[in-house]
Amino acid sequence: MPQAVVSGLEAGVLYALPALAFILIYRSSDVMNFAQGEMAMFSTFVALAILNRGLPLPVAFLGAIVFGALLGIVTERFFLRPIEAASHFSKVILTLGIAIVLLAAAGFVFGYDTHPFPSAVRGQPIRFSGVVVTPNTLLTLGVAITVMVAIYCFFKYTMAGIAMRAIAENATAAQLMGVNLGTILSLTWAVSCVIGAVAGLLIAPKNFVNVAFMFDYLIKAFAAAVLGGFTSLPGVVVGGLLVGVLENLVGLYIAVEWKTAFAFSLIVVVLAVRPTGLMGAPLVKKV
Amino acid sequence: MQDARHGRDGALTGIVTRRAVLVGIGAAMTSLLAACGGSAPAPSAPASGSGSAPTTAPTTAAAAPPVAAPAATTAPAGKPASGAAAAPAATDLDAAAAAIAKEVGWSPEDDRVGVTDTEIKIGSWQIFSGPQAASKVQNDAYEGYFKMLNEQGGVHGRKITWIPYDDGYDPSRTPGVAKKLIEEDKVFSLVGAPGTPNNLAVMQYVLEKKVPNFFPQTGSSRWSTPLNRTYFGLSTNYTVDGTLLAEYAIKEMSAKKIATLYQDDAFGREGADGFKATFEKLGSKPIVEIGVQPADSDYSSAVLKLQQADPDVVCQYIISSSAAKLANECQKQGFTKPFVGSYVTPDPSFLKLSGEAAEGYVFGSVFPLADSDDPGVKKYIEVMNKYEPQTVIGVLNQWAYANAETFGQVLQVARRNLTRSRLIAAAESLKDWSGDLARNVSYSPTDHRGMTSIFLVQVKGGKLVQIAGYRGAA
Repeated sequence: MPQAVVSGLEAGVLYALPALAFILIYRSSDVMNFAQGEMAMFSTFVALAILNRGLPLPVAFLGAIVFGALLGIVTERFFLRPIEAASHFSKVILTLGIAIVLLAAAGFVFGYDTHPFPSAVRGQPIRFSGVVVTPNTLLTLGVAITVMVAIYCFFKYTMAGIAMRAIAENATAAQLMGVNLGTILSLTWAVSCVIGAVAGLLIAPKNFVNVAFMFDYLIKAFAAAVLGGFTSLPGVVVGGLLVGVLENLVGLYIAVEWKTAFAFSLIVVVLAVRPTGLMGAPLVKKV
Repeated sequence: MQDARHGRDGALTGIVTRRAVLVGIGAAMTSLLAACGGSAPAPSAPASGSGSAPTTAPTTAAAAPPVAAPAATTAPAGKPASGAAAAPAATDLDAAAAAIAKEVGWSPEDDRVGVTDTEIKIGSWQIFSGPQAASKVQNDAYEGYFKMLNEQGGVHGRKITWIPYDDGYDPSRTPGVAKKLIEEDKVFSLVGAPGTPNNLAVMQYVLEKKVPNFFPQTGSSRWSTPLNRTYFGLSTNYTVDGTLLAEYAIKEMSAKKIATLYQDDAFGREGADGFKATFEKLGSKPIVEIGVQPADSDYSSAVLKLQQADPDVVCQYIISSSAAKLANECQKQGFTKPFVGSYVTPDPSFLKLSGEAAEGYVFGSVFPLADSDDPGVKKYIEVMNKYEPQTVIGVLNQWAYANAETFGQVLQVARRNLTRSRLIAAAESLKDWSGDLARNVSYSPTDHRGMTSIFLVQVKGGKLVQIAGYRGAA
């Protein structure tokens, strides 16, 4: 039982990170970025390419993060912004298009094979009272928590963060107050893509890298976002952890083949009872 | 997604492909019905078979230029031929062919589709694009082998025209490609068509069109069970594989407590059925059966379950990328019991991805290891180096080569007077035939499985090493 919870938490933070990336963009641009998995995948491949040149892991991480940030800025500035006035639907289709292009491009550049990815830290598993934790699990948890706290502080205490929140609340009012909408949106996309890249880098040693390696995590991240309430940052984190732990408990005590299905049925039930998710803002129709 | 390889069949990671499996299963069921109903109107074909294969018992061999060996043990292209039984006498073949043509319902014209005096047109969908594009090495083997045959003068004076079209391993694209091959190109036979869902997607159609489908490149048993006269499997199927693996675990590893772990889809369940068959035969039972989803990326709860059950041996039936993740998770949680698994699993990517975590794992294997000293393997590598030097030597390519050489052998046995019914009669006459890579291939009018044996390999120092020889299933 404790082992299932620990394993579940590890999986859970890896759902929570991409979920955070989802809702950051959703809150500020009102767009579901369906290219997020592919962006993270591409960034991770960049890290892999750097590693294959014999450079150390931290350089690869940095490279992936910088690439992720640039990818986010370029996407927002050159693809999303020109169709700013278009319907949400068009924007969503645009992100889908970007996803497909990135998928094909990654296949072309990096190939369709599956590659191993080194763990950042190696070492013997640590055992205490029946629970086995590897150093890499601890690192994953550490990095994820750091990112989450950083995001929280960013929104709470920095001007840019506050401006982002302002835009999420009411873009017109924020602009009237002197917020540069374009810059802030670019920044949001950059931050979101960096979080995605970090998630990709943490998932890679566990799930190996190929063009589709983010798929499973993304589906569950989406579930985590919905479960947590699509707008609440802490809600999304709680949602991710819940999905991870539930899955593992179902896998252990009911049946492994049911673990994902059961976790998702629970989400359906929660949403039926609380349509706004666990921590979402109450539904108020904007007029 | 995930790895190509044989396991690709089981891989079906994407939602799209899973949907396709459902569609495929539907197709299989309907085709089953169609097959039952389809045999009834056969008598209406007015003794066509005999008309189509009327003459030329002795003359066929004479008419056939270069390769044509004198009628009997015909081994194409200097093979280490071990065809235990000689090819049947031409008259036997004629009689068998006539009966087959009648049963299938081929008119004399249908029976000769795709064959001219100088050409045999065959083809299938292959994989050139999409996430499984690495599987294009299969096509290399077909291209290479048939190029070699043609260079040597073809088979009984006919050159082989090989027509591959891309379906991107997408079962929704397969029907269009199959239609093109069958209705526009009018191929004589499908050969080496990859993918279980892809084959299932068109099985009913192919049966209706009465086009032979030789050696779908998948280990599903559906190509031979239930039997369709026009369908032939080649590689040892998953059920037989599973049966033999469990037998090895119980008898040769002396395992008392066995856990089974399988991928919960058509592929994995078939292997698990094989495990079950052995357990039932030996009157025992696995201590725990764990099904995992093909798309799963987290195996921690599966390993926890194994830990709790504490088996002597784990029999696994999952594709290579899942198996690698599982092996890594076992290492992480300190679960060190031995694994015995499918021939589908240990492809080069498995060895690369699992690293030292898979050290000591045991697997089945169908085709001889590519680094062995076996003369057949050497010949195969020679052919590939000469005709398709860019290809990747590996199990997918080997499998395709085995399909190609076996088809070549069947053509050889069928002789100059080539019809679809004679092709089938020729195939059904193969007994314990071995080529460069295909081993102990046998068919009969009631058994279209082909190979029914595996040997065993173990991961040692990151490489596969043979630890036990070929053993067969009943």
